[in-house]
Amino acid sequence: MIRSIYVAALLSVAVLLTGCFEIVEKVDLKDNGAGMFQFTVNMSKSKTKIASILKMKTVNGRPVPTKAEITQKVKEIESSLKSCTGISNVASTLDMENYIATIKCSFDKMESLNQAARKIAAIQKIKPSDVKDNYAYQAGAKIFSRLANFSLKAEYNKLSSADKEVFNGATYTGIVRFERPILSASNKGSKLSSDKKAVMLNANVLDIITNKKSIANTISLAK
Amino acid sequence: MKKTTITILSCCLVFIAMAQYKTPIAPANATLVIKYNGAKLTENVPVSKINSYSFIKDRLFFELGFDSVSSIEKTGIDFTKETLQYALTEDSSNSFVTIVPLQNEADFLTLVKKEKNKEASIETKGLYKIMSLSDNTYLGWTSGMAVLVYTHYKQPYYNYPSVEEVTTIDSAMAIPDSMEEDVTDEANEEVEISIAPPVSMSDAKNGAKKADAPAKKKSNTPILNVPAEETPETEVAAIPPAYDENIVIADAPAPTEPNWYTIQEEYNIQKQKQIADSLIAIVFNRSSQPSIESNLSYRKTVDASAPVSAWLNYDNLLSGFWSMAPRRLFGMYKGYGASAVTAGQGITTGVNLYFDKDKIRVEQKLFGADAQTARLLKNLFNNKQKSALLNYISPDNIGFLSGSFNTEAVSRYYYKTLKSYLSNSYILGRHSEMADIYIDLLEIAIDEKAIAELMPGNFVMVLHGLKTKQVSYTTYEYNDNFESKEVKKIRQELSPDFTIALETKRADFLQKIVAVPVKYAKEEKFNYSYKNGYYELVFDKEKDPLNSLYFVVKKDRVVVTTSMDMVHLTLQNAGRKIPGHLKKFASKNNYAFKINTNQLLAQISPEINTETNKKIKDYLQQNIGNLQAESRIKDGMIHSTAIMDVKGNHKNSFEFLFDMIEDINRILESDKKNTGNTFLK
Repeated sequence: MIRSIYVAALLSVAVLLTGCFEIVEKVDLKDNGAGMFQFTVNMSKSKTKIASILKMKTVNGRPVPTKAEITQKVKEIESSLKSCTGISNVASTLDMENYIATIKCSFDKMESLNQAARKIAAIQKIKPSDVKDNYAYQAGAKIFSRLANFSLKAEYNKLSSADKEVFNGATYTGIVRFERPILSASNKGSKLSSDKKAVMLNANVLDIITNKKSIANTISLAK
Repeated sequence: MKKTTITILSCCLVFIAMAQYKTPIAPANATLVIKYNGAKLTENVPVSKINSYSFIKDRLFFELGFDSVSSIEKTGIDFTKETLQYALTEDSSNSFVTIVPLQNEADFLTLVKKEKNKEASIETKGLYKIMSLSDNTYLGWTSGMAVLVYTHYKQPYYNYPSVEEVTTIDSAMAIPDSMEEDVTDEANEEVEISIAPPVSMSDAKNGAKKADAPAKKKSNTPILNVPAEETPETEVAAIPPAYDENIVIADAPAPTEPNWYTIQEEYNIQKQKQIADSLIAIVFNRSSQPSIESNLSYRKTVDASAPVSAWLNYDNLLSGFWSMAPRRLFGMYKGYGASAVTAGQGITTGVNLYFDKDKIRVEQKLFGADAQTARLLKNLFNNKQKSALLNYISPDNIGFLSGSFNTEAVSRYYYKTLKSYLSNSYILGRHSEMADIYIDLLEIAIDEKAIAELMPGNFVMVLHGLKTKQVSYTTYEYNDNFESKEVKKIRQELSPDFTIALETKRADFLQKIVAVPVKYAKEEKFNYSYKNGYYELVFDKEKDPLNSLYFVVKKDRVVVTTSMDMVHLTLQNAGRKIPGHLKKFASKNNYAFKINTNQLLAQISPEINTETNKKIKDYLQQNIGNLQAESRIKDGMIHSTAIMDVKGNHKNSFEFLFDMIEDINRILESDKKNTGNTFLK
């Protein structure tokens, strides 16, 4: 899912031409492989710039979406998710005062979430076949994998210098929470919570795009 | 015998000398002329020094596609001599000619051939040689000089020939008498002057009528041939205009004929070669064509001693634009075509660039050669800045723009322009007297004096500074178990502090305008109210860059500002002490502009958030001084000067340009090495 949303960010956030936004990805995974997923794009730190840009028709040659179009886009994603097998409790919020968009859902298994990502990708006009799995969970072995089978470098390189500046200062936070204690995490940037049941990864969005940092992580849980 | 031998040898030497580099001359009908004084430029930065800059080889040559060049000398170009470029906007073609001095023909040709990537056939034309680089780019050269011609022949298939085109010999192809023998044989041949285009639906109807037209001229060839030597007007009097129902189009191949477009393309390529040939011949044979130097407008506006100079003929530029446009685009007919090409009788401008020790200086002169245009330009600047408006300027401001124009003269200028436009339009062109009446009627209906009273043309725009304002934002904080909670934080954002003040003689009218929104503010949900003598528009502090904007109408001026100080200054009709040099600078010029670069860079610093950008900002702060520009009437011309001060350790301002590019490039390269960051590439 993250690739399709990143591509959306690359195309639509670039239109809004603002730095200092944050992306928060949360997964709460139960032992049986079901769980809850939440994805947030927070542009609150750039709200004065966004408010100014939203008053324009185009910026840097790109059309600026209206508030109605942004709302419509979020609704499209929400309704697409609702129609996905194994996905339930879909809800979205769009705070147009602070420019924070959140979408969350429950899933019955990781594969459902991967399939949902493909469906979202289709909305972004990305070939579903180009979207690889983002998550994997081996219930028996109690191993969760945050996969990073995507590369945004090519899309990023196509952007103009002005658009590239947008990602300067943007941050990513990924939190995965489990019912069992964590034994190990492969990503060296992982931080372990005090109850040992959650892992947090922080990175600059630019580092992820340019493949300087990976958000891939394999987490082993206590059996 | 000895005498004869000496005579022959002397002639040979003269010819060889002619083949070497002589100061090139642009023709009098050029639309744009650019001169680079190589001696002056290389005196400021020698070629050896230019070679020492890594960006020249690593970036510039790469960007230009000259991967094979190891040093600037290996281009074969002699950078110490004058290089000339000029553009010609003829009735049927646009051409751009570049004349460069050569110091090594072999190196130059090696470069050209490498970049061309294929072996080109070379034609020898007496003293010089010619090679085609593409369908519209041709190179002519001797051992001492190269002439590169880019030309575009514009006979689009969608463009019917007008009677003017049919009756006029293409001036791009016209060769001076003295050259007819030795330049090109084509000049004596029949000139192909038009090809009928494919028939559109509407044109097909005309075509049907044309089939019976008495003036119809049928042949199997799609080319209408008219001997070049014959007087065009008399020869083609019987040929109907393109837009006329009697137009001859029977010669055109059927529109469905598959190779019709190929024929047009081949025809255009053939024409482009002929034009390029003739332009190259003119340069090498140094024909007796009138030089741009004989043009008063050129002499008045261009300084021959300037390191770089450019001259532009606005009339010809417009003419070139309109003749390139499809015939009926914007309702324009051919009025801006051949007949409008001038040698600078209208408005022309000369720009001279100087690289002084501590500043880069650009001098621009706008000149109207005919009395009417000169008077028009003079009238536009017939105004003087009001001292009351200068009160808003202060030496600690980031920058300001002061303007003083004659609004009434500006209005009258538009009537003249409108008349010219309409009388050249497709529909009204044949009824120009009606267009004249319409504009006169408009002129009667519009009261320019009233407009001039409302806005006499004096104004100042001042950027006092960039203040910071506090804006809240939402982010997340996480506890030890990574459970998040939303928190509000505060950040500082830049907010421009500015004032715009305009002179008016109708304060009563403007007072009504600024008062009107008060009545509708509540209904339309915006915060606009009357305070003690001024009006305030309050913005959303959280979302808008400005907190408030104030409007004051007082006696002879209207003021829009973000500064309460300026509101009070206006209401109290107070005066401020302005340093003499600033007052003189703003009041003696019709247009005066100044920016304190150091202050601007210092105030935008909080917004610069990467180490690389901070380094670039520091570099610019250390090396760039203030920017200023001024404009006024001087010697019967609009004379403008723009200056950028240069600081730092540079021998002169030309060297500063190279140093700056080199140093900034080094900072960026270092950033790439350290972080792999490519966003500033």
